[in-house]
Amino acid sequence: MTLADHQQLYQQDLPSQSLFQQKITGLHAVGGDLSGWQMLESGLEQATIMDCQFNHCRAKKCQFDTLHLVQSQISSCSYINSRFEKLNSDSSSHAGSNFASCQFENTKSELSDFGLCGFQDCQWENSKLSEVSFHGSVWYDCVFKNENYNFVRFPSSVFYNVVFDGCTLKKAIFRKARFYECRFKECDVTDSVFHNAEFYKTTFVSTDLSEAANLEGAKGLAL
Amino acid sequence: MRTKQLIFRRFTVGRYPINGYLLADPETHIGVFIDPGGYHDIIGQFIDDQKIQLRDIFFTHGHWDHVEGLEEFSRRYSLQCYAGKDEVRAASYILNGGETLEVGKLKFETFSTPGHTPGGISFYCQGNLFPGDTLFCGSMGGTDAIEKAQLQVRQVKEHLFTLPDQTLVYPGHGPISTIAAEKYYNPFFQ
Repeated sequence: MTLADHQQLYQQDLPSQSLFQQKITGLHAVGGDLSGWQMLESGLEQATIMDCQFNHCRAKKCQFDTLHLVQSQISSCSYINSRFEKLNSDSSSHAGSNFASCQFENTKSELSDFGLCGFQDCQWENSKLSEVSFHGSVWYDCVFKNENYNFVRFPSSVFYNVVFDGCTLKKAIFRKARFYECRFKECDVTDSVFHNAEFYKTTFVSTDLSEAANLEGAKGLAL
Repeated sequence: MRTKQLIFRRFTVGRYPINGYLLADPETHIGVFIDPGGYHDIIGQFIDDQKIQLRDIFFTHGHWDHVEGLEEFSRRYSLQCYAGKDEVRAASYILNGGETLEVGKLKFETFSTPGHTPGGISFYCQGNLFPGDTLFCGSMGGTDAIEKAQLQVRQVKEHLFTLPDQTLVYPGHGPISTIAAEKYYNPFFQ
């Protein structure tokens, strides 16, 4: 039984599955438990996944194109060398997942949670995020490019060698975040919060920190 | 989420958008709405589609943005309202925390969580916590005095942070979270 057999799911569980070099198009899943999936060199496109649960899934060298997640819980999953194009995450939780060498392009997300996630060598480009949380997340060698954020939260997150390039970070919350050798280039940080944030060898280029709402207690800033 | 045991949907509505939550027992279809900050046709449509018998309204607290939809809900459904002391005038039952409320076969535990408001109540059902503005993802609702903020922090630590780490947190505003994430990474509770 392949995933493609399940074009219309309703309140139905799928067994754990392994996909290898398969491409799934048009999946519409509602209320299922998709935990334990493993995908290798596979693709999922034009999919809508609503009220579903994914735990401990794995994806390597996979392509996710136009994936719409609604009120789903995706936790402790691992993604390696995969690409997310037009991911739309609405009211969904991705807590505790790990992303290595992943690319996110044209992501849209509202009211979703990426708390306690780890990102290594990842790139986020042209996303539009509103009220999304990345609290307690860890970022190594990542790039944010032309991101458009409103009220996106990164409290207690840690950034190592991360570049924010041309990003709109309005009302972003970096409370108690730590930045190591990071770079903000041509970013709009209007009304953002860096309360008790710590900066080590972090540079700001054409980024007006005076527009931030709260820099109280921030350490390591050469204002 | 956790749809085997629950019919569940979040609706972010109202003039100052808040997260309202509709939960129903999948067997009896008896349901409750937590914090009706506004009414929208999509709520009524979901109630009709799922054949939910909406019988109860739970209020986490009485701020206007969490209450404003009550009139419209009351016009459409026959409802019993539950809230903490002096929070909502229309409340038919006053909660002090420690009660267990039944909605169909669902059981909701209540916790007294004052601070943001004096009679704030948090609701817990099957691994899902609804703290209103007492606890946000990476933050917490504001107070007008440091003592109230300290009380709020204490109540959260004593009551809410003793729930299982994997408990999903559905706050009154903003994105969802988990108890583990808030316990270990919310800067207000370190």
